[in-house]
Amino acid sequence: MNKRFYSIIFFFLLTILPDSESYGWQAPSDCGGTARLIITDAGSGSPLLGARVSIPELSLHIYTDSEGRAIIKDLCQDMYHIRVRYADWSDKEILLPFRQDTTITISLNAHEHFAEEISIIDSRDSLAVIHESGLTYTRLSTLPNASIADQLNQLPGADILRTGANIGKPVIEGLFGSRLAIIHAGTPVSNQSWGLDHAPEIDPMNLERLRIVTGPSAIRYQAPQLSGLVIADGIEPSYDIHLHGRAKTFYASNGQAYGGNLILTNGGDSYGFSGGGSYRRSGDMSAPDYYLRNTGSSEYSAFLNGEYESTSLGLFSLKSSLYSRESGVLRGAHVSTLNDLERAIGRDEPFYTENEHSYEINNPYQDVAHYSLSLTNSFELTNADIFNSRFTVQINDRKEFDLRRGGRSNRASLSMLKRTLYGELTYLWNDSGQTRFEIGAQATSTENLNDPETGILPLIPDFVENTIGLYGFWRERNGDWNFEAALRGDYKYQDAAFISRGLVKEIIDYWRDYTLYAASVGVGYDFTEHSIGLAIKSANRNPDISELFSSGLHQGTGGIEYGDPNLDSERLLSIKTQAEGKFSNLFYDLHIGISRFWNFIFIAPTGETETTIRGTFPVFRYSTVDALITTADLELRYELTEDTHISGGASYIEGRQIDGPFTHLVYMPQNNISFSADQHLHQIYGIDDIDMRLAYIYYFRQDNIDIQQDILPPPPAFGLLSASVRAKEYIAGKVLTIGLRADNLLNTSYRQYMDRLRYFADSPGINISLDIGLEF
Amino acid sequence: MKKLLALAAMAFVFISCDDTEDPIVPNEEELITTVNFNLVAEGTTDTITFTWTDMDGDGTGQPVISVEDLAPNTTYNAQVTFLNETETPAENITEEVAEEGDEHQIFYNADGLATVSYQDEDENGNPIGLMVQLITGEVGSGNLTITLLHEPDKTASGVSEGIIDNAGGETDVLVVFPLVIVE
Repeated sequence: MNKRFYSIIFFFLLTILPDSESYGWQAPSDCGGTARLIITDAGSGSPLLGARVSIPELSLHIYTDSEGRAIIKDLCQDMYHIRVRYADWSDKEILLPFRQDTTITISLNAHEHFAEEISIIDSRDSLAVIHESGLTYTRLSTLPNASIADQLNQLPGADILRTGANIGKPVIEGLFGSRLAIIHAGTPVSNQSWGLDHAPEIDPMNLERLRIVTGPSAIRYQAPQLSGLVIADGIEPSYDIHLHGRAKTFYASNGQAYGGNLILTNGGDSYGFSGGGSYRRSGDMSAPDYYLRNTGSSEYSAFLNGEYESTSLGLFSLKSSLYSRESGVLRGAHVSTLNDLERAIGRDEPFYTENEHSYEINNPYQDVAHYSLSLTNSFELTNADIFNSRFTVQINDRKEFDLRRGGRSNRASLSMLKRTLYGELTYLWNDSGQTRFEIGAQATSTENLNDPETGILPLIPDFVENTIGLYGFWRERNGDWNFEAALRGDYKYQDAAFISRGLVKEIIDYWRDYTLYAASVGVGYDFTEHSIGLAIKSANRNPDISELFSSGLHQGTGGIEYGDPNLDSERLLSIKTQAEGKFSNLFYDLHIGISRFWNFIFIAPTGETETTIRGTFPVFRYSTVDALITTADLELRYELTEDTHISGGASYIEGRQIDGPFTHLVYMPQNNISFSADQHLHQIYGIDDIDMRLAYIYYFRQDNIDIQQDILPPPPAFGLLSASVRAKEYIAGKVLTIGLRADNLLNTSYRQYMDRLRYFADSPGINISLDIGLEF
Repeated sequence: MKKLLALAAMAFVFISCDDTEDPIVPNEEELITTVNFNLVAEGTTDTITFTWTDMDGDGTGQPVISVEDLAPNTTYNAQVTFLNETETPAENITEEVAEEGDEHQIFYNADGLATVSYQDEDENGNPIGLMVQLITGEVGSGNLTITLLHEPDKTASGVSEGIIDNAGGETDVLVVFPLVIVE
């Protein structure tokens, strides 16, 4: 059925997708030609070693040798796209009308679109002292229904803090929320990051790359510098006159979820476009033994990016995006008092469980939207130095709907609108990739307003937060040595209008200001088959508005929470090391990090209780403690043959309190180990490429916690098995992929420590998903 | 080039939102400040009143509680009312509870000193608990806990008999009155 089946799907897609006129497939009348490519540095003219050359039509990826050469054989008389990528230099793509054997020189510019800080994911080529880890579209697209947190979870050092199956918050090296920044379109994403149930509003299917940066280069962003930074690179406009793009559709059995994504790129000599969007819909998920009522979600996203290269004014780019999501919260987890909680926890089956699946999203649910518009200019003064400027506007609209009395359930219980303006001006000097020097000035202005129509005193007050800062970054590559240093300083003030509790409601104005800094130095050394890196960083973070001013009952935790308006900034000193390389066919990647915090801000039970008309509640207060977080992540891959790999991984994290009320920090991910086997097949049953994978991950019980720190002991250890098969077929220069995947293959019942709904229900059971994609 | 720098500089002149306007204090119309529990012994007309008041809702203020003694082995017809006294005149939340009777149920626990039975029902024939009959036992003292649940599962086992354990739901009111039964 294979070829024919594909042809039918392909023809179907051809009828709905606009085709590119001159890019037709020609009969392979005369194949066997050879193209010799020479990749050079445009600045010095010297050949580049290790540049990656890709030809999507052939699904070919090769690397240049020490003379910058890459030889491509078996070419037909046809049109080929040749993409070249080198380290964190800008990509280049050319269209080659192949007629006869030829030699082509492609020169790359080290600093063309540098405002985007383009870095390669295949970290062997990375210039940074601590190599980035990341995912490209190819990998992201294998999980078309996954959130950004689920996608990041594939990377070493990343975990998830969940609120049920459909709301996930990324955790990097144990840190999340206000401590973890996400950069999108070169701008720190401004969302409601303080709540444990707030997921970032980014669609990973609209990204070219998703990566984690931990080294000194992270300091160029005006964002908290305590953990690594997550950088989401959108899809760059294409200058290719042909219309290209990719389409994806999927179905997943658990939740009966479905959706799709379409991306198109097009351009001309001096301009380019990329645009697209996604839609996803999921109904109630199911645990092995029951449906998780009201865990459906509905999500859509869209983006449009344009670029114009002016000969006199440089490169202009405009990026816009929107994202909207409604997510239900498990019905059986909706409690308001400790008594409710006690009745709801530890049950065999959550309250309100029903026997059938439903797509309906009822209260309680979240309705969030994020809009952003970013304008940048990149102006080259000479061949080696460049000015970048950027201005971004973001709007974040968050509404939470609870079960309310008197027909008020369609009125939000929490409704906040956050507006953020961001501007930066940076100067970059780059000497053929050997020395790079960058300085910049940045400013952010944020305003967060509550809608008084909720009829509920806001948990977070209205506030304004303004920040202005400067940074510098320097990188020097000297033979096998690599040095980096970065420094930034910011001045920030917060102005909050707090509504007092008590009988008479007064508005109390709080004004606080902070001097923030981050400094980091790093060194790396490349051996022939190994590389090592070390970076030391010191930084501070001002207390978040929620940590200062939270006041009132926090539903879901069944406690009364109080911020402390006198909290000091928290400070960090961290050492991160990385070693990467191979012994024969055994590849390894090891990250070890130690972070010492002073004044680590956390929320803890005080032992007091407060009596209200809804009952007696425990009181939680934000306070500080000195802390030490230790992380270690090891990934191993053994290549039995080029096509058969076995891999293993281990992840360790411990968050310790120093002289604190408890021994450990709460919400630290479970340690885990993983194993997987991969098999690649070529040209079998008429299919060009098949990738098969079997994976197992085992999560240890979280034992690093005191029993008084939680209302239930941590859930037991568990293991999850997953399997996937992906097939690729190259048809007329287009790539058709079909993926079949099963997660939680053994339908194991389990609860995860990092899931806030573990008190109430099991995590989802088996999920079988099918996706079909076309790149054209 | 100069133009460009000027443009970039302009981008930095931020529309700073310094003058935060004072936020509007939301009108907390769902707030319940007061629980009145009125009992009338069978064959009499005197009303015994239990009152629990906490004017600042979830705030730090302490509640004001007033109760009267009950007689042993007596049948009382009782009624509970919920008020929001931060508004003038006080808003009667009981009406909302009665209107959405199928979404609410009131549970009573008298520490075994008295038995409480429901005297009203919602549109599905399940109890609401705004009107109850309370029959005291022997002399003694303990607590009377009154709980108003929103969206309980009224069909769950024991719930319509007034047993809260399987009810689920969300607590809107939970008050504890000292209960004294004397001759």
